[in-house]
Amino acid sequence: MKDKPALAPDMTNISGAQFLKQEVTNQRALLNRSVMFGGGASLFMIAQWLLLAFIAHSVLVDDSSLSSLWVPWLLLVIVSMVKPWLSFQQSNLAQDASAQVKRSIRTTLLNRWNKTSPIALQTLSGGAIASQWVEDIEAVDGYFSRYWPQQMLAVVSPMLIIIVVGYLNWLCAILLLVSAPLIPLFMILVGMGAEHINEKYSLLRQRLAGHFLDRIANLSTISLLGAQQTMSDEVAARGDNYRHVVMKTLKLAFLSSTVLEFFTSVAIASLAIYIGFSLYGAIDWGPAQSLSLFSGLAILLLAPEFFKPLRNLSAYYHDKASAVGAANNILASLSHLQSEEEQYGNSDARKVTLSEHDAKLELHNLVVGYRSHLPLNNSVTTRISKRGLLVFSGDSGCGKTTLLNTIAGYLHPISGEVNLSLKNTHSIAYLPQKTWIKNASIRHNLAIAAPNANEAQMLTALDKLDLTNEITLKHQGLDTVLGEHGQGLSGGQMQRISLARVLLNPTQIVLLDEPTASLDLKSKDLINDAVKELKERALIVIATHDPMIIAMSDIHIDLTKKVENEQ
Amino acid sequence: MKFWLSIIYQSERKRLFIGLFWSLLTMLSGVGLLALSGWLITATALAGLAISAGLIVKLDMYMPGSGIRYFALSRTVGRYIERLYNHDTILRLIATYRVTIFKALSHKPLHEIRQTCDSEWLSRLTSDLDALDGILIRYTIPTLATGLVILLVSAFLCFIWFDFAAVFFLTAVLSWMLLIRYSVSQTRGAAKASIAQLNRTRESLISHIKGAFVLSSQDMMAAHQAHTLVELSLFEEHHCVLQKRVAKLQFVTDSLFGIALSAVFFSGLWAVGNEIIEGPTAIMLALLFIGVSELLQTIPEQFSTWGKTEYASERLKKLASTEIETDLTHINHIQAIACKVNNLSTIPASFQREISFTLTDTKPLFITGRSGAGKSTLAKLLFKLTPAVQPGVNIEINEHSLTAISSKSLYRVCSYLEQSPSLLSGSLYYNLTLGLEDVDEQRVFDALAKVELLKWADALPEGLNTWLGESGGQVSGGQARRLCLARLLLRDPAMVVLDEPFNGLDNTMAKRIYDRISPWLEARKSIILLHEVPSFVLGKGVNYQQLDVDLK
Repeated sequence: MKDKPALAPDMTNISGAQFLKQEVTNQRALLNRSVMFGGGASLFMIAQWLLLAFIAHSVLVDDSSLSSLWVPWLLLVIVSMVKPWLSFQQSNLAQDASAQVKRSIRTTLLNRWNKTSPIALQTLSGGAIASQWVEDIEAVDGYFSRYWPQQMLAVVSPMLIIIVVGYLNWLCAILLLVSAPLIPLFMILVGMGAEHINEKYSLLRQRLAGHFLDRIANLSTISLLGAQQTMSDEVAARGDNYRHVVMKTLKLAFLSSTVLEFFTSVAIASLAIYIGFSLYGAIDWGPAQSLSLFSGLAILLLAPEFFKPLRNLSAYYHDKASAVGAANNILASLSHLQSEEEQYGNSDARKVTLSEHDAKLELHNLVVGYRSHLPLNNSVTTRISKRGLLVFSGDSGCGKTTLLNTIAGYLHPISGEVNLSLKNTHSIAYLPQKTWIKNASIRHNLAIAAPNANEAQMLTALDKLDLTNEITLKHQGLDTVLGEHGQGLSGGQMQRISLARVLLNPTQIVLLDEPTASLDLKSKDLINDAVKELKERALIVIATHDPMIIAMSDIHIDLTKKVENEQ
Repeated sequence: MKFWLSIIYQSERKRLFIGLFWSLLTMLSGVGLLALSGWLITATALAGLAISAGLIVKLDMYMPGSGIRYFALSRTVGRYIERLYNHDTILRLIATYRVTIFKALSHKPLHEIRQTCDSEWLSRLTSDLDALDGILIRYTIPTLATGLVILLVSAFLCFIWFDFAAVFFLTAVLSWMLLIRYSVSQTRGAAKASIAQLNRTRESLISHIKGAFVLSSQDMMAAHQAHTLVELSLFEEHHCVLQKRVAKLQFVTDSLFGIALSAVFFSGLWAVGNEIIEGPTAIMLALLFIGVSELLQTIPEQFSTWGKTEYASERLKKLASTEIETDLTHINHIQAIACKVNNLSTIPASFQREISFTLTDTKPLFITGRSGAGKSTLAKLLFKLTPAVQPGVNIEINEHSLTAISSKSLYRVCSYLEQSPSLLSGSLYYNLTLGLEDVDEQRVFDALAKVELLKWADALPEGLNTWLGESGGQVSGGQARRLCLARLLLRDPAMVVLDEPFNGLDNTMAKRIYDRISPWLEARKSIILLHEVPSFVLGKGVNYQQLDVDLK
């Protein structure tokens, strides 16, 4: 399947419904073919009932023998098989269209997230992102595979039926016509409310998912604090709230289908009674005289079919509402992302000069922070080139990590400049304080950030960090599988594994956030050796208050000085 | 699935039967409306012809007329009530399931919980629970109601034409059973595969997003997403197979019922020719058949999600049927803790010598050693985060073996500051007072002052009500650690274990904080895990115990 950059570049200033319409335009060909097959199925359905009524009339009124009617019988059997086949094609084509739409939205979102600053991305919870990418986009499915083709068929199919009924008896056709336009009107009224609630419902579900992920990730903390009861009450309350909102949606969603149900039933009932009385001879005005068993039965059989596409449409209305809700949700999160990006900087604010020469890092009157009115540090000016070690130290919360984020290009400076000179824009490795360990083998964990490293290099790197023994002794070497919580490894070991990634893929600039924070003296020495080695071939910037690293630094900047302590 | 069905039966039996009643009423009204109308039209047509031929025919127009009106109304009302009522029932059930499972989870031993990763938990709890609603509104109520309709219609037909009734009953029941069976067997595998793959895709995505900090600076996000896209393509394949199978099944079913209708119609007209039944009755039979077959034709679609539901219910059953600890000793105070560890692989030094300590008084115990030496392992053993049922591990509290002590009572008297700080998404106040009731704001501020976060908290836009985002996004690592410490300071446990409490703090701040929390520490038994005993403790001349777990 190909990745289509099909979405219009502007995904922020449109509503969910408009967004879905754009997608329809992209899949117009498939959807139109689907509707054509659906229309064909309607024609065969009409033929089926006409044949049935014709045979009934011939046998019961005209006293024809069953065997003389073999042509209509044969046709009836053929028609009853072709009709389902056409519907089968209709749904296949619509599903293909839907699959392509889902693919294109997913790829677009993924690309968008890839280009987003990790800091802005962090403001969306992992669970919420996943539920958007998985559930919300699956929720769009029904709109394309069912709702949209049905929306077209709800016009085409009743029209065909009206023509046939009108030919048989114009009064019955008028009766059907009169009840038909009321239905969409009522549905629109009901639908608008349902859509609004659906949007809320989808948001609530996402929050519910986020809440669960968060509480479960912290389940041990909750247990250790003895808060299980509080938490299970909280879960119950959330679940109950969810039920209330969903029920509200359903009350409305079902109301619209009930209206249709009502019209269908009333139409069948009144047609049956009108036709009955006409045939009996009790009514003799209008076209009542022209009715026969054939036309009467055909009209009766066609009446429910007249409403069926509309009823299906209303059953699929839930699909539409969910899709619009989900689309609104996706768009809302994108615009949230955009506003976060505007706050943190949505483009690279650094000045990067591409040069084949030595790497250079220049900070000029740099002030950083997450909110422009809350600067974290006093301005920093420094310059380092080719290789060496630059250390930022200071109390926690004084902007060390923020400085690294700014140098990495994740955050706009509040004021001042970051100037870089690099072989390519992305020759910067970043090791955040919170280690990122994937639920995969150590080999895979190393390879993701160092795709070109071979096994021997991996083992050497692990060895340098004193991990080889610990890993091969206790586990299955490079194939040891690590969990998301990194079970089987201590915090220090996980941190060393992520440092090994940096060693394996040396970039011109390396940013390390508290690399020794949870390591012991021996490991600190190992890290220091690694840093010593690295600083001979690259520019290293470290945020730390480890005195041993500070002692190694070529430039040391203490950020604490003017940030006064409490007390 | 039986397990969940039995919960429905036990907790919502009454609602189940009422829901079934409304469904049956709706279905019968639909079938009745069509059949009666067909009968009326044919009867009147024949009567009309007879009258114009000069015969005197008496036909009661009003009974069938009001019957038709009644069916029209009961079908509409029945449908609305039925759908609403049954959906409410299932949402109630889902809420019950949710809490049941959460409770079972929170009583599970913590080490078991940690073995599964977050993203999988998420999909279990939300999408699996959502999948369970099919049990009631797809498989139970409509299926049973359809079965009852077949039964009642057959019984009604017995009065008209017994032979036809018998054949109708047998074929309808047979196709009812076969349809359910085939729908399930055709789609189960594909549905299971598709949902399992969806979960793998979700996990892969979450992992990808979490890696943004490491990957973005090197522009590796685009390369790293390849894995997620492969998983996505696999999901799409499975999903497509499933949809195609359902569509094909529907096609075959609809064709067969179309042919069957011709057969029913033919035999009806044949019977008229042989004077077994009347003309109007023949039409009524055909229309009754149309009504019943429309119900049966929904089965493939209804049962197409069977695999998904089954997959979900199997996994959830495993969670919900967790046995809750029973017959365990409850403790409400700590007299003595004795711990002996030999030959445990996660504590390398335990192969050299017995790692042991006894804690009977409030002198702080410092457990020191380099990272990976097994300090945290000791703490985790003590708090049952690592199973203590291992040869070579012997931990006793008040002379009871730890394995025989209920975790709940253990956590009530012992508190643990874990190495990695964990904040929940919720307000600052919520985070600090988790599990406590009605904590005075002043006490919270005092605790914050002890860890030097008072000024920080005051500067927050909404003070104690400030929302700490996902994993405490707005909080730096060092601040999160101090918040977790403050959270413990608000409590009054008999024993406290602090794992690397000063990690990420510089020496002078660590000293200030230690001085401030000393009175609180001295009021209870305490174990502090550190790389080495800090200089400010040595200098202060505090009376302490030390256990070194480094390899010698």
